[in-house]
Amino acid sequence: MGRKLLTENINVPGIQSLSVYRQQGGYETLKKALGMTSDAIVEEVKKSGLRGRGGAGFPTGMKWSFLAKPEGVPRHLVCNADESEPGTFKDRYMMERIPHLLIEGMAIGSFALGAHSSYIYIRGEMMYVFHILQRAIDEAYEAGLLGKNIMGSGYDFDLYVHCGAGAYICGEETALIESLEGKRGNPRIKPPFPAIKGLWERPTVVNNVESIMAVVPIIKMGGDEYAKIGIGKSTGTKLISACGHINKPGVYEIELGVPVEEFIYSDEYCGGIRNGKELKAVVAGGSSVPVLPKDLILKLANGEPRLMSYESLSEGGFATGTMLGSGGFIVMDEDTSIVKNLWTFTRFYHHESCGQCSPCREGTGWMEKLLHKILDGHGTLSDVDLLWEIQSKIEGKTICPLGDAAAWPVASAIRHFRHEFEEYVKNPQNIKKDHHYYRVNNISPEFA
Amino acid sequence: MSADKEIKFSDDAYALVQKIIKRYPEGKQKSALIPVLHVAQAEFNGWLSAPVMDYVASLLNITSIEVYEVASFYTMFNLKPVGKCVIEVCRTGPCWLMGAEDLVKYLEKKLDIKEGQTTADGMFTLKTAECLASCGTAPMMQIGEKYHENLTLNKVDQILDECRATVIEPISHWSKKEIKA
Amino acid sequence: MASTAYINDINYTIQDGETILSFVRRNLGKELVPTLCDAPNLDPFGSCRVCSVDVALVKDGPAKSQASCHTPVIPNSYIYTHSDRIVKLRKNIIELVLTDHPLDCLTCEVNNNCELQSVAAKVGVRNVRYPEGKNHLDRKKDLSHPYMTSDFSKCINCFRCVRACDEVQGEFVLTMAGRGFDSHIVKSYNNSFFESDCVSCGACAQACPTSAISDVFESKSIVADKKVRTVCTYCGVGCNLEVSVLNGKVKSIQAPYNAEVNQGHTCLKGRFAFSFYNHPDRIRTPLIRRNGNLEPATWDEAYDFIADKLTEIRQKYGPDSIAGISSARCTNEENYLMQKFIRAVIGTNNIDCCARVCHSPTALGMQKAFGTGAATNSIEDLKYTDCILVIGANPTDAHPVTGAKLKQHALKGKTTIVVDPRRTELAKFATYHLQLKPGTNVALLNMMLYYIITEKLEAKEFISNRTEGFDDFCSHILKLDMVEMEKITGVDKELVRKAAIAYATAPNAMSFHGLGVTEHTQGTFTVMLISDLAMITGNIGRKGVGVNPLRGQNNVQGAADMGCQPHQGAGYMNAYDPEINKLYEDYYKRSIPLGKGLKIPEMFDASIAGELKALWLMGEDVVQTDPNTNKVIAAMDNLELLVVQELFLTETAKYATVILPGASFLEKSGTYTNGERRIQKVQNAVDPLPGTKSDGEIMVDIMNRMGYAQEPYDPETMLKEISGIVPFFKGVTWNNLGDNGKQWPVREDGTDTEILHTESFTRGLAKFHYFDFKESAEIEKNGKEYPYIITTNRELEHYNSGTMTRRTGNVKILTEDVLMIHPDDAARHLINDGDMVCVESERGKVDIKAKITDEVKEGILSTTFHFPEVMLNIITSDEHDSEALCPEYKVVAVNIRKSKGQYKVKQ
Repeated sequence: MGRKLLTENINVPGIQSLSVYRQQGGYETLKKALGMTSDAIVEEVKKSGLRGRGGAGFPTGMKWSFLAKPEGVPRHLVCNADESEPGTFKDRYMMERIPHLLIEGMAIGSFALGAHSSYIYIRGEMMYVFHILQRAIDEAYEAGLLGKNIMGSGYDFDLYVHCGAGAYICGEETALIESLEGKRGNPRIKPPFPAIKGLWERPTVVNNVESIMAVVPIIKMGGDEYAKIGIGKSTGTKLISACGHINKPGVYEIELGVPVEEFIYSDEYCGGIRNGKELKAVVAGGSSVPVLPKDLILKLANGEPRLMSYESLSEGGFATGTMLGSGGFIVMDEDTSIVKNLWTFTRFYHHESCGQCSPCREGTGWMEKLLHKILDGHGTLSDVDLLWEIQSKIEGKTICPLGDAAAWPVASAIRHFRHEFEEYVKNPQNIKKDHHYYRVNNISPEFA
Repeated sequence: MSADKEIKFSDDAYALVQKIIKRYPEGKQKSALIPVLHVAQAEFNGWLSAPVMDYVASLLNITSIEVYEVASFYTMFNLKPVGKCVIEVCRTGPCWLMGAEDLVKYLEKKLDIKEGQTTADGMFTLKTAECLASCGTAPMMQIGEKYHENLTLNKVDQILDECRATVIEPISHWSKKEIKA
Repeated sequence: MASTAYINDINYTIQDGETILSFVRRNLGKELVPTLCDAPNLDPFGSCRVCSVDVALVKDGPAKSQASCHTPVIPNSYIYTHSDRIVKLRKNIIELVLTDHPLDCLTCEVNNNCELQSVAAKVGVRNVRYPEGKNHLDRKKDLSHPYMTSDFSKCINCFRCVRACDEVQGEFVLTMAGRGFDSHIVKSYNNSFFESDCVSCGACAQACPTSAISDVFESKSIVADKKVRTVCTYCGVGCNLEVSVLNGKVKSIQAPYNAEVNQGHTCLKGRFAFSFYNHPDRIRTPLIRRNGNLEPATWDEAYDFIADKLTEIRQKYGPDSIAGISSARCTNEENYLMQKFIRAVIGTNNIDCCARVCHSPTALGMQKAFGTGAATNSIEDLKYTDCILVIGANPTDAHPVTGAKLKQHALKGKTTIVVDPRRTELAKFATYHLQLKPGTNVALLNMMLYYIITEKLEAKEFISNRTEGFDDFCSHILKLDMVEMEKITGVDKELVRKAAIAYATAPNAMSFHGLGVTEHTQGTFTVMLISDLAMITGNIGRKGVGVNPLRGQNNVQGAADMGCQPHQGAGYMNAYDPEINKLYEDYYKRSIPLGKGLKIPEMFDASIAGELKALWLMGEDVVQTDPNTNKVIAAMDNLELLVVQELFLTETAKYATVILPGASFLEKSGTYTNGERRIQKVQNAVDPLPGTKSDGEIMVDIMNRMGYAQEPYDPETMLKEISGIVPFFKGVTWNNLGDNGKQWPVREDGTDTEILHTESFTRGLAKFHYFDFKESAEIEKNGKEYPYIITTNRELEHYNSGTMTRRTGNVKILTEDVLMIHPDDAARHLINDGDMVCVESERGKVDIKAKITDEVKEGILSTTFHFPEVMLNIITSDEHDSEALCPEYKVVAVNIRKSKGQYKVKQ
């Protein structure tokens, strides 16, 4: 049984409320942090080896240390709660159940960065979570945990929740900042980076919900202690959103380094493939990371077991590996049509492209059209090649990583399942309708 | 909404808007645009007409086009009238794996409309949505603020009946709640 | 040591802050790396990705493709502009773009001048591999506007039009709506161009790389025989224009990107309002009044008639019975000739020009303060200033290109102080708007000066080193009662204090003023107080500061420079000084009068008194534009000879004895000097219409006809003559002016001057002056009976009397003069929007359509005099600036009532 740092108290009745949260030791870490220097806090986070939990995996402490601190210019910490990556639902789960952990993390982080007002940008669709957060913030203000002179420390800190209105692109940090400024969510060109010119042209750090929450146990236990958990440079615990054709979908906090096989099949986690079916493929880190077939997700190319860690999942590069990403773990059983699953992803990226960069605006649309054509049984082999070419001209060629996110699933599906595309092209008459049509059924258990 | 009716927030909504504006530094009131548009959509029958957007622009002291370019970017803002209940079925990969496609077909048949349409009685608008971060509880749909998860066809029937039976609050009734708070 | 980087393995030196694209283009030319979303006058945007290049940190090392337009060059990096994958990438992007673009190039208006087309050709797209699918080719054209057109089926979503609208014009009319594949350009809220708030500057059309946005003249079409660079004839900004000529006719006009004045931008007047030039109304033959009618005549007949009549009058009444009014719309050379004609050929100093009715107080006031009556700095200094103070000017309408730059300053959140009775466009974005009562500039500036002194913000070192008269000035100012000043101006004194502090504490503060300063009884005093503000804060003599009059007409600076005022000859030398007189006599080889000459208003008085018998007007419509129309008409009626050089039968020309058909700026060559002292080349795009002559040619003809041997008109010879007498033109030659002209003073070696008074002032030390506020006699006399104050202004679409702009498509955009009236005043008089209002002053009454707006305060009205249908100047007064005799257009006491119909002007 792995250690639980974030979800330890998640099932304590009433943990949503401030009183219960405090009974469980909540805000004690904030108190500790307020007694430290801001540099010391940053140092602990650096030592912890915490890597951004939103998907990119950039070391959080390093990101914090890059923040510009010009005289007289306010700076901000912004929490990216625009969780929209298909397959990922950990942040919603956490904010809904233990909102004060985020608030405590925001206060510690803001104190460390010298920010006096910070924002949580939550996606608009999660409006009910917005209310939960707002209520928690109101409680915290009343208790003097937010506002002027918090916990008598002399530090003034205001925290606000800001809601979006439906745009995956706003999960990209500069698009998020644009959106927070009341604009269209078009990513900005970089440089300048947000650490220099972010929200309202002020130095800004944008961190994922889970990263900010993780700061609380890091400060509580110390960076070094935290770094002992996990494996190699994948320190600490990670929240994995598990979904798809498994017996126990849900959010699991794992110590980084758990073998993938154990994660899928053990009862502690996913509980195996539902209906006794065989595993076909996994998208391990949210829809944008490469899909891997069963043999490659369970084992490295050299036959060693693949682990749930940043390094192990990306072992082999894109030829045989994938990425930990946001931890959105989508499992597909033997009946799944990779092509159709890909089509839903591509339709998603086409729908979510902001429209700024021509390769993405036009390319995502053409990828969707070509996939649709293939699914309809009208595709040709050259369409598959064209699909490959389009994705290669989007990847790394756009202002923001949405281009990469749209390209990688296509590339990996063709790389590992080219035969399936060819089957659609060569034998359209063989396409069985229910091969890629799932009925609504009642076999998935109620969410724990 | 009749054309000549003056577009103006209720006192409560106006107070909420002022509260929202205060969340941002002075002179950065444009930041309040998206939250205020949510309030406006809730106040004015679930969609944003041109006069409503002009009104929001005047409240925030920005130009109308700044409102329009934003409203048309985000999927949650309706720029055309919608039914009293807007049903949004998540259709992306993980939900598709769990039968989202079937769910949409079922709703289309049951409501006798196609995706994107509104029932003749103005009760339901059926839409599909991209990933709503509810993949572990798929299939799912959102109605107003509420997530309906782990759906079965029986559950869907029940939900639709409930929708019909309850006095329908404006679609994004969340803001009303917020006003009361 | 400067850092370097490699382009295709060859080493080049990097300049600070350079992007890869600018680095490559600077070293290897514009063509090497193709682009679509990049434009010369817009910030990098990075959306098309066509400019991608490979960047490696070691030679032939692993490379990352980067959009070159916005990525800074990394020192020692290896940039590969045409690696295989980059070449393929570009091709693929263009191919994708072409899937949603019509392939009707042969019939497209921008065929052969389309950036998409040339990039596609360059990257070598041969076929489009993508299957048919959803596209946007069915989008409808928008032909609603007199000038602007759009065809969004051709749009490639490069955002250039949106950025031009935002970054260049600051109008925010165009934007991208929708998202992703549905992204599409909208105008205001899904409007047509005509319904939208578009100001028709055309920046979007010029920026658009395809024909998605264009104009009715098809300006981007390559169908033209030649392109001629010249200077706009409208306002004092002096935009450079590129005129396309087809079959001897002007086809269209664009703004060159390399123009230092306007950097590829201009306004709807400069870009589109040119069709007046061959309008059927143009006068195409000389006309002589015979038996009360203007009858066609030959040029010889007309010249003989004039020469005989002038000789006769001179003999009978003496040379001082003759006067000339030159034109600030004409070239320097023509103005020079006009004053030379009046002084050397006729023999009188009765020469003036329309600077009298606009910036004469500026010239006089700044001469008294600094020694030179011209803008101290350049518009380009806006880049270096921290604070702008805009007094009595509405530049977004009257000087649109400078106005757009000022607005950008305000939009960027930099300190902007606007002093104006109206809430002008700029005032809406200003940090401080001091909305004073018209006619109280002196009181308001005294308040600012008072607070600068009491807050101890004066620049002591500058004051002691470079100025005189401060102590007197200071003690006088400190005696003023701020409570009383607050009452006079109607502006909260605390607000004035804050604005004064903002101006005084800005590292660099720059002031701009317009006719709202000069067209008052205390106009010259106001100019001197503005100069005081600059002196007391040390804001003079370096970049980003100074006193900068926004000159009204294209060449009002030049007309004065050339000596078109009675007291100063060419080069501002004192015409009444016997020493200098000798200089002129030697140069002109004639005896030159020393006697005091008449200024324009004095000319009217002299005519009515029977002392002035002949008047020569070079393109000046005094009847419509000078105040108190009925008096002006009486003056015209009383003349024995009125010669008018004109394009059209203006209100004034109707009273002429002889009309000589002149030529427009498109048909002549010479130079104009803009508001920042920049002498620029005007080059004829087409020949004068048959039967017409350039005004310079006319002057030369008549001089020769009257016995003065003047060489034939051509700018090169004329400039040689001018540079021989005007000290600050010393180094000016036609050939060395180049594309962007020179700012005077121009030294003998041709070097010019961007900033005046850097080391010392023309008069040695700058001098402080103080003045007390004095209510205009107009208000004292008529204020009781006529309790409203009307102040006149200009609209973007029309220029002054509208003679030219009313004969272009502009008239479809703004169709009439309107009266701005505050809602409470309108309610009091039961006036609804669009009602006709009778506006009556002591002099007469006019009917104008009401426009209810809170842009004016209660008790204040505002309108324009662009349309002869209204003849607004019937009601304006003959109060003048006490020093320079500039008429007080800005304060007229009136009463109003709702009226039934249009008041007919008696002819």
